[in-house]
Amino acid sequence: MGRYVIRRLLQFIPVFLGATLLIFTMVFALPGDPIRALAGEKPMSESVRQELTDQYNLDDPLPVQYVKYVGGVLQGDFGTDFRGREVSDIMKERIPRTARLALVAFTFELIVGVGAGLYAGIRQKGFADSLVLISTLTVISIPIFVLGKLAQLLFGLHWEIFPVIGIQEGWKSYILPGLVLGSVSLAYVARLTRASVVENTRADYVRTAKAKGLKNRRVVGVHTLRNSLIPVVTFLGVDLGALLGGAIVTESIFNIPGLGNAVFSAIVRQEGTVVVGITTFLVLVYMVTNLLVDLLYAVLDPRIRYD
Amino acid sequence: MNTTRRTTKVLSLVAAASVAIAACGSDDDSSDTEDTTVDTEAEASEGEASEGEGDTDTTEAPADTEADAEEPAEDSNFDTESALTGLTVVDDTTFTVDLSEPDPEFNLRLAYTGFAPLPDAFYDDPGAFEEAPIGNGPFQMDGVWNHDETIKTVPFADYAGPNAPSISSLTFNLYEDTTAGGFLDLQGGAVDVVRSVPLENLGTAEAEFGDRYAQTADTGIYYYGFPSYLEEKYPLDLRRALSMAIDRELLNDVILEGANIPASSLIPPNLPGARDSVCANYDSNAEAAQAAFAEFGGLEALGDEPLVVWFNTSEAHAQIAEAITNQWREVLGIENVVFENLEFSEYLPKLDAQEITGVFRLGWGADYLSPLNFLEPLYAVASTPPVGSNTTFTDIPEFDEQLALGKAAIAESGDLADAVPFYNAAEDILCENVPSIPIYFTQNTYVWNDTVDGVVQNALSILNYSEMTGGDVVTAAGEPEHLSPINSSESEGIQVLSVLFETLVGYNATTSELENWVAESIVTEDGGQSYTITLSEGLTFHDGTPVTADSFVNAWNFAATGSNAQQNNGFFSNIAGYAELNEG
Repeated sequence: MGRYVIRRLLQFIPVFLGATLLIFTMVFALPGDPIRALAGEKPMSESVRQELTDQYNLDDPLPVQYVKYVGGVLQGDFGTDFRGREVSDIMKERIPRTARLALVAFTFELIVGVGAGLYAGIRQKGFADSLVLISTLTVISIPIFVLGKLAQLLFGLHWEIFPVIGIQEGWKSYILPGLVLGSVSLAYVARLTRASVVENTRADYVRTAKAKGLKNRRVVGVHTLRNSLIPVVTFLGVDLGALLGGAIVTESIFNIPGLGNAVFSAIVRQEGTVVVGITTFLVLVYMVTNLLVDLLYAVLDPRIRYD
Repeated sequence: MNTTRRTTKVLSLVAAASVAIAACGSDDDSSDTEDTTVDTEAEASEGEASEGEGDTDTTEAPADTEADAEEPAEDSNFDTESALTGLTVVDDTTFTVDLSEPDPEFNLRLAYTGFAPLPDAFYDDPGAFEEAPIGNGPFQMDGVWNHDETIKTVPFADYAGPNAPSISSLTFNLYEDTTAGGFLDLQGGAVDVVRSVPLENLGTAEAEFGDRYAQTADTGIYYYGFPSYLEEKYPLDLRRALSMAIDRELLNDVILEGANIPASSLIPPNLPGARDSVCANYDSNAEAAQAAFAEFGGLEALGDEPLVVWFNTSEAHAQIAEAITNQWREVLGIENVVFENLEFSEYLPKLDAQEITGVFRLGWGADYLSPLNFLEPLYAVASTPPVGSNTTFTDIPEFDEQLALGKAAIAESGDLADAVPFYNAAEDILCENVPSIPIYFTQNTYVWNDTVDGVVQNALSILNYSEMTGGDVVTAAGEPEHLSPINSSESEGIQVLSVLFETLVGYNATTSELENWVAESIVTEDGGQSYTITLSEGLTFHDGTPVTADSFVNAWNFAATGSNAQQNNGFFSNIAGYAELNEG
């Protein structure tokens, strides 16, 4: 187990280098002059333009720029954006916001999703089952910005339960966007859990458990659910990464200045340092959650062993 | 076994790479230290200078220099030594400005936040200064700039200028999308004032807000330009036809929800010299357009080459381009149209480098309120890129001549009105030559909640926070790019800075007329070649230090020095000595 984890952690190094190089090259390949764009329609004086171009090493060839960048990163310097703000400051500021949003969404989809899926699975073909299937289908079919705008209108403007937009009111501000963000994944989690539970209730070991005369709660909770969770955990692991990095739409509907928005505007402004910094962080998040998922397999299913 | 071998290989690779990187790193380091030594010397000598002449200085100034000596700023690659030869401090409240060539409108330019004074504290660390700027305006920072969330300000207790506020605090809520986000929060009650209504809400805003919705004149133009280097493909008759074929009224009503003013001239309606109509070429007239198109040679003369329309990527620009080309199709029968849309970062360099292959869209907002600001920067030979914004590369000597005559007229009488006939003559010349098609003039459209009163947005799109009433006021804004007068060139930053800083002169919020603010007088006796500026006495910055002639002169010198890379550097280009500070 220990050796397995170390091996996986060592794999982070080449992935880090590869990911940064790849993203760096892609931002580098974008056409245009980001420094000129800073000034907008007003002219920028040649001397200032040259000075800024030099400051951000934009005249250097790609390999030199990349080596300078990685050199900085290894010394703990993630560079600055074109406004002169430290990328590490931007990340320190934005990661907690996106993390809160993701946490609300994740908790919601985990508890409600697995709960609904389990309930529908054991009450197969009943009213609850149909309700879960139909409601999840509806949620999956509605684009997230429609859900978001609808939630703002009803819960924010009409009933005034939650703030409409922004993050001024602390945790309360994250509930509505978190629920919207989590709702689509919730539908998948519920359906996945249900399918898996339905399959497992017919499994030999469940029949054995029942035949042994175990209480129904133990049969469902330990034997059925635990074994049904493997595909769900896989999905949740990947989804956690997606919640952190891919929440651009939800973040912009609810005006949450998180990572998604930062990456988007940095791409438009061609701020390589910001794009690389944040996406590399996201790559690491993906890798860590994947590692955790793999380790969880062994916990859930004793037949799976590492080493 | 296998895995361990692989990992060692990876590790050794990483080690090799980091050695290589460390090598480059140390190179950088050594050059850095060289920089800092030069700078500390510079700072030291400046410190001495200020102590020498600083009998009148308060105790704060020496304290600052001490702090400097103790911990030299880590990356102080800034040059605080270089100075414009055109700026001379006469005494504490007087300084003179010599321009490299006469500009009778220089005093109008001084209303721009870029010309605001800076306290000594700025030079300790210009980057850190932006987190909590210390200004001389009616409001001061309450805490630091909370990035992407809020900027809180409160009235400055010792404010002695003409714009004393009556509200008890002013908070800027920062949005990724100011217009949409701010408007939604206003509907929800979390924001009190929004300075621009989203396009999709314009139709219902008046019904929803009644007299808490207003449209006032802004000073900006949206236009289509023809690069003069494409004269062969777009000769005069074709340009005339394309201009006259656009139904500006219809475009404004349908696409822009009537929020703007259809433009048949180049000088915005709220400026002196504005006219309803300049010449037939700028009027919307389908028949005349068809006649001009026939003179050009019609569709045959256009040939197989498509008509290319360039704009920078945005939903609004795309809709406008769509509507305009539709009108060209209906009126002139031009079917073969291609759109080229690019991100701004790619679009602007192409304009500067003469790489546009057709008609292009651009906008222009006033730096200061004068017709000249809508003619000279966009069409004068002297403003050809990279120096200025004449992206059509217009070169008409008679036009430049009229501008010169207009300037001479102001220089002689000191009255803008005397220049207006010449500016109008210049506008006529452009209308005859059609280097660009005016499409619409922009307007402010804004709404507020019933908790505030007296909301007015002036002709430079600045809200009059000093005249509002309503206790704690929250307003919607975007995250500024910078928060320093000499480094902020976009509207979000300027909006915040205009309450934190006060300029020499400024525009009255209600009347949009120029008033003296920090300045007691600005006098030129040689037709705009040199100015003597006298400051009001007893004004202070938020940290208690006095606003003196040095506060202006040092700030302008710093901004004008190219190596300090301040965005507003170009605004100082007509002060004598600018060229020397921006070589190489």
